[in-house]
Order: sequence, then structure tokens, then C-alpha cells
Amino acid sequence: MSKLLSTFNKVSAPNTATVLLVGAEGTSKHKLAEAMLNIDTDFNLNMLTASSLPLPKDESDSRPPVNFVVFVIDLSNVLSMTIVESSVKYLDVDYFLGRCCFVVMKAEDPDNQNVEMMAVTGLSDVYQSPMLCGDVKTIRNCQCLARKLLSMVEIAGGFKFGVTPLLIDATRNTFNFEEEL
Amino acid sequence: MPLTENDQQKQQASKSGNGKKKTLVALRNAITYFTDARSSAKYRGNLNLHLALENIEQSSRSSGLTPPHILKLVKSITTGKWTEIVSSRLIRSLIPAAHVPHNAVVFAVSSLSAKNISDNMKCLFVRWMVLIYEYVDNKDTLHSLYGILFLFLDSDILCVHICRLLYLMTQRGDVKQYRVRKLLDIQSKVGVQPHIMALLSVYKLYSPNMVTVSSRIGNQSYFKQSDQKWAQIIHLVQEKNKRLNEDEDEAEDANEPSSRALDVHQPRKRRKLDVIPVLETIDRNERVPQSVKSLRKRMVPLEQIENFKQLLQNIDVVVLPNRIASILQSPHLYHVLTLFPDKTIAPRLSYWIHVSLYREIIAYPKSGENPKATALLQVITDFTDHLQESIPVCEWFLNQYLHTWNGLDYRIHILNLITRMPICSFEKMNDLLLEPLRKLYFCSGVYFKCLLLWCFTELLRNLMSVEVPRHRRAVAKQQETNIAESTILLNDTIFGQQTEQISTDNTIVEFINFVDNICVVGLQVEKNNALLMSYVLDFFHVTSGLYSRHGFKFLQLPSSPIVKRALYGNSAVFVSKINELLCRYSDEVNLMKESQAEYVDILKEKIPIMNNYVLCVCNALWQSKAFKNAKFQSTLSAIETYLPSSRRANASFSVLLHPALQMFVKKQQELNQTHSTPRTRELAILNSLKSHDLDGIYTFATTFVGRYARK
Repeated sequence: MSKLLSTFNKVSAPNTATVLLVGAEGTSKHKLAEAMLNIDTDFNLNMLTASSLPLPKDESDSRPPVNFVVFVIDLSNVLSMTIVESSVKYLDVDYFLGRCCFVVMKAEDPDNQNVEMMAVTGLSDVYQSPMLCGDVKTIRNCQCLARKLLSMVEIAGGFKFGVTPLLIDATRNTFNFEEEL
Repeated sequence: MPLTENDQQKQQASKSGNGKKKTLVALRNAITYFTDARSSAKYRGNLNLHLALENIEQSSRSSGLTPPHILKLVKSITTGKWTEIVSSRLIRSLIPAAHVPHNAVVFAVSSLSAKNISDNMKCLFVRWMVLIYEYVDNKDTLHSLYGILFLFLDSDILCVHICRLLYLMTQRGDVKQYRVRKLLDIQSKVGVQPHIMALLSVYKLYSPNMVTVSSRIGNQSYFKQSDQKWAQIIHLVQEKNKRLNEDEDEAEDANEPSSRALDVHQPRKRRKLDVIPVLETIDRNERVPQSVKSLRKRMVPLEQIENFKQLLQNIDVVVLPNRIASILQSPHLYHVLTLFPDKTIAPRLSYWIHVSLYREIIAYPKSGENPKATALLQVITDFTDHLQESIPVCEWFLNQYLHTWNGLDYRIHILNLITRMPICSFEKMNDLLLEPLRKLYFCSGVYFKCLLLWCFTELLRNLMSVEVPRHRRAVAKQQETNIAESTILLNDTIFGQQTEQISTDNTIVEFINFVDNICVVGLQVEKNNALLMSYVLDFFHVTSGLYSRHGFKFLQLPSSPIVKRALYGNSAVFVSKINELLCRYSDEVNLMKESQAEYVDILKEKIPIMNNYVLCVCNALWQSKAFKNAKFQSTLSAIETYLPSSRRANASFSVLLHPALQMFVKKQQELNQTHSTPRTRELAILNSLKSHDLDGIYTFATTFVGRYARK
């Protein structure tokens, strides 16, 4: 139980959001974290990175509470997928109410994929968390992805007046509809 | 370092005519050695042979061989007199200076069936032909051997290279049913081989109706890169000669590459140049006897048509181009396509669009935008605009691409394509189209939100004015013929689409509800952004004409947060717009009331909401009791008792005090100090607002407010 990462077990610093990036080695999560830090925001942004969950035990209690978790999956890297699949289980259920998302890298190149896209969409459906595709190869694309993540962090952190992740989620229609693409 | 030495030799030769002559004489002597029947073919210890060989190799690698020399050497090799080593070295040095005479290639092809030449040599010849195909001076002659070359597919050794050669040579007229069958036979014998697939894919490109086997699209490397070194040498020699020629005659050389660039025989090469293939109609290989020709109807190939008038005169006798996609290059040619009765056009075009979209966008290896893809998307959008129907493969493409779209690449083009989507069940529409877009909507900036709303507005407009009527017609026709099937064939389309039996009304209602929802939340996220509000109201402007303009039997009102945000906001434009919108809706309700009783249920449900909105506007703007009916009445009265200055809260949204209208009101009051009664002041303000193009408020007042009602 203590291994679970939880949002509300610590008091957060005012006007501060902490984002945790989880992804295997070589998923360029540091580049993404840097891009996010380089964008101006109204709130203080802390970025943490981890190669897998659960996190080691926080003995000195120095770790801030995590507001938002981003799982990075590289479709050319099978390990990144298995790590995410095993790590998701260590998140508290609160995170799946709009406080976590999956970032998929190299989704545009079907010839070099070792992970099935369907597996990732399945994961995103099971955990009811959004999936974003993008890459960090060019500055333009990297910034585009970082901005998207930041706008989700802003809402999840409660910095948007009158908007919560659940409100956003309420606009979604769900049907059990499947058709082969 | 033989090459650099040769370069130096060459330079010296160009400086002194003598040196040049010397090398030429030496080359001529060397070639004479091989053409002379008396020369000894002995390889070991034959100094003359070795000297001649080296001479030919050197000069071919430095400056290439002239056409007569190539012809002579090929003739000599095909006699089968020389040993394998000599022959192979000779073939490898058949490097053209500028081009290869077609006769030489014909000789080489004829050697393929000769007995006195070993299989390895035959193989080498075919590989040579693949490499120099681009430089053959008269490709028609070579092309007439297509059928013969095709027979060599049976040979296991030659098969791969022959496939490659045929891949380069294939024209539309070559695609025959028996050839496809032959290829499939071979495939069933040896299994799925990339070279056979390559040839089949070219066949499918020209006539997808004949080749039903599904090839993996996007796999560009059918052939292994063999003979790279050889190809490189040929290329270098060509480049060098081109540069030398440029110095001598620039004008002549300028024609050379352009004619090559227009060469239509190489799908791979052309693909590098442009997305849309070059227009070419005449089957060059078609040899019709004169007697037959005169019997045929006079046909006009498209290239001969110079202007639109000619096109109109000849539209019934036009011959379609070899590659149907070349029609997309000019909007005038779209007419040919829509008028042509040929059923194979649609599959041919679909296949091409499918392959191109996949290759240029989905499987494009680099990140960022591909300029060719931009051009392609533009062409497809123009084309769908002309047809006023969506192309099924585009739908397929969007469904796949939107899933991984980052909202940035090809943004405008993708949104443009979305606006032309056909109608389908809402479940399908939601999962394949709206859900990915919704995700992007909420994590992108306000600009993207506006673009997306614009896109939804256009999509709704297109659905209502084009797609739904088409669907209705198809349903009516099916009911006439009494066919009970689950799918409906849309008859009046080029692409002959099939759709499921769906309730179009349901799709439209659900779609409007969906957009309404994301509008409300979007406005909250963006803190009432003016630009976003403008797009939201534009969307509902289109929705307000559902019954009167498009004959839908229902009414969709904007939800109350949207109305109130516009009404109590601080922009005069939106106050006016929401007034105007409510007037439009009331006209709509009145029309429905007048026409028939069948709308009673709808009206019963919607009229209270509508009345509520109207009352809300009246109270706020004209009755000075903005909060009289509000739920928090008790709180308000409590505030008023303790804070006397807030007594005017109820009047704070009247026309005279509304924050959004202050600018106009103050201006008007300065102009006309004399107006004393509120009534006259209000009238003056109304007229002033009308003169500022904010006539929504005026229209509303004359419609709903008793004292200003039109007499």
C-alpha cells in the first residue's frame, strides 16, 4: 500500500505543480522535461523523472507531492512499453481522473514500430487516460508536445479557474464501438 | 588512383588537341581489336587483348563511350567469342557518354535467348540494361520488346533483374490480364517475392481493377540496391559530360535534363519530382494498322487540348491519360472525370490517392511537414470541392491519421479535409473523428480551439446541405425499388459509396450537442475569450437554420451558459449577436408552428427554454431586473440591505448601463444632452447601435419588447 504513489498524502507548496515523467532509458524524457521547463507558466513547475515505478521510499520526506504523471512510450522500444505497463499499477486511483497521460513517441512511422499501436490505445482505454502522440526530434514538435502537456498540468493542478479534469472528461462520449481501421 | 590520372589525362587532352586525338585513336584501335574477327580470343598471355581491354575500361570510366562504340562492343560480346572474364569486363565498361543506342539494347536482348552465351553473362546484360535504361535514346524500340522480356520471367536466374527492368518499362497498355495471371502463377510457385510484388504493384497502379491481390503499401524498397558502384560510375561520367557540354553549349544542354525530368517511364524517378504525375495519354507502343484506325472513332488525347473551349468541344472523344492521377493537375480536367462513364476511373484514382497519402504522410520517415504532402492534400481538397463528395480513401486516411495527429502538421489541410467528411452514425463519427479532435481541443491553445470550431461549423454546413440530402435521396430510391438491405448505395457519386442505414437526424443532433458541450467547457477554460466566443456564435448561427434552410424536423438551441456568457460579457458585438441569434430561433419556431402539427412534441420541449432565454434578455436589457428571476434572489436582497449602493444591481445590465454598451451610450449621451426621458434616450441609443452595425439589439427590441414593436 505504501508503494502507491498518491496525490493527497502530502501538503503541496502554493502555486506549484510537480510533474513526474516515467519512461525507460532512451525515451528522451529529459529533453521533453527541459522543453516543458523552458515554457513560461503562471505557476512554478517542478519536473521529476523516473525510469520506472514504484519510486524508492522517501526517507527524508523531501519529495513534493506529484500532481501529474506522464508515461512515455517509445513505439520502437518494447522495454518502454513493458515498463509503463508494470508502472501504471503503482499509481493511486486519483491519478486516473485526469491527472495522468500517456505520451507516445515515434507513432508516425509504422515501419519501425515494435510495439503495436493497438496495445497502447488499449492501455489508454483501460486506464481512461488520454494518449498524446508526438516527438521531440524538432524544436517545433517538441514545444508543441510540451505545451499540450502543460495545459493538462495546469488544469490538473487546479490553476484554471472553474475547470477540473473531470469537467473536461464530461464532454467525452463513450460508445462500445469498434471498427477495424 | 586510376581515375585521377585519367582526369589529368583528360585535362591535358582538352588543352592540346594532339593528346585528345591520341586517346581517341587508341580507343578506336582497342575497339577494332574486339570487332575484328581475326583477333585472338585467348586470354592468358595475350598482351594485345589485355591492352585493348584496359584501354576501353580506362576511357569508358573517364569519359564514357559514344553510341557507335557501344553498339560495336555489344555486337562483339553477343558473338560469344570471348571468354567469360573478358565479356564481363567489357559489359561493365559499357558506360555511355551521353546515351545508349537502342540497337545495342536490342542486340543485348536478343542475346538472352542465345545458346552460346552463359547465364551469368545474360544476367549481367540485364543488370546493365536496368542501369542504362534511363539513357536509352529511343525507348519506344526497347518498349516493343516488352512482351519478349516478359517471357524471361520463367528463368530463375534472370527473374529478379527482368522484374526490375519491367518495373521501369511498364506503361499502362502493358497491363494485361494474362500477364497478371502469369505473375500470380510464378508467385504461387516461388512464394511472395519482393520483385514480383513490385511488378504487381506497378500493374495495380495503372489498373487496380485487374490486380486484386493486396500489396503492402508504402514499402518502397522492393529491390535491393545492387550494382551501386557501377551505377555510381555511370552517373559520374554522365555528370562530367554534362558539365563539359554546358561550357560548350548551354542552351542545348538545358533541354536535356528537362526532357529527362518529364520522362514518364519511371515511377520512382518521377515520384521524386512531383506528387501529381505528368499527363500522358498516347500509348506510344500502340501500333494500329491504318485501316483499323480509320474505322475507330476520332479520339483526342488530352495533351492535344490547349484551352477550355477545345475541351468542351471534344469532351466526348477525349482519351483518358495513362495515369489517371495526372488529371488532378488542372481543375478543368475534373470535368472530364465527372462526365466520363468509365467505371474503372474511381478505383484507379482511389488507389492512387490511397498510396500517395500513405507514402507521403503516414509513412513519411522524417518528422515535420513534407512539402509534397502539402501539395497533395491541397489537390485532394480542391478535387473534393469540385465533386462535392468525399473520397472514401480520404476518410480511411483521416481515421487513421487523426489518431496520431499532433494538431500541428498540415493543420489547415487536415481541417479542410475534415469539413468534407460524409455522414455516418454518430457512434462511428465520435470514435473515429470527434474523440481524437476533442483531445487535441482541450490541450491546445485558443487559436486551435477556434480553428476546430470553424472546422466543425463547416462540417455541419456540408453535412446539412450536401451529405444528408444525398443520403435522403438514396434512401428514397431504395424504398422505391424495395430492396431490403442494411447498406445503402449512394448512386449519384463518382466513388459509388455505400453507407449503413443510419438516422441522419440523430447524428446531426448528437453532433450539435457534442460541439455545444466542448464550447461551454472551452469558454470556461479560455475565460470567455472573445475570438472563441465569436466562433461559438458562428456555429450556432448555422444551427439556427436547421429547419428553415435545410428541412430538418428539429430545433437545437445553444445551452444556457453560452447565451449568458454572451449576454453578460463585456463585448457589444456578442450582446448584439446573441440577440440576433434569439430572433433567428424565434423565426424558426414560428415557422414550425405555422406549418404542421407534427412538431408539437419538439416545440413543447424547446419553447420553454426558448422563452426562458428571451425573458432573460428582456429582463436584463429592457426591464432593469436582471436578477429578479435568479435563484440567488435571497442573497441579492441581503446584499442590498447591507450595501445600499448595490441597489442598482438589477439595472446594471440594462441598455443604458450595460458595461459592453457603455461606449456607445456615453457617446450618444454627449451628443444629445436634451433627451430627458429614458424612453427617448433608449430609442436614440438603439438607433446609434444600429448605425454601428450592432442591429441585433434593435431587431430583438422590435420583435420582443412591446414598446418598440413594429407597428
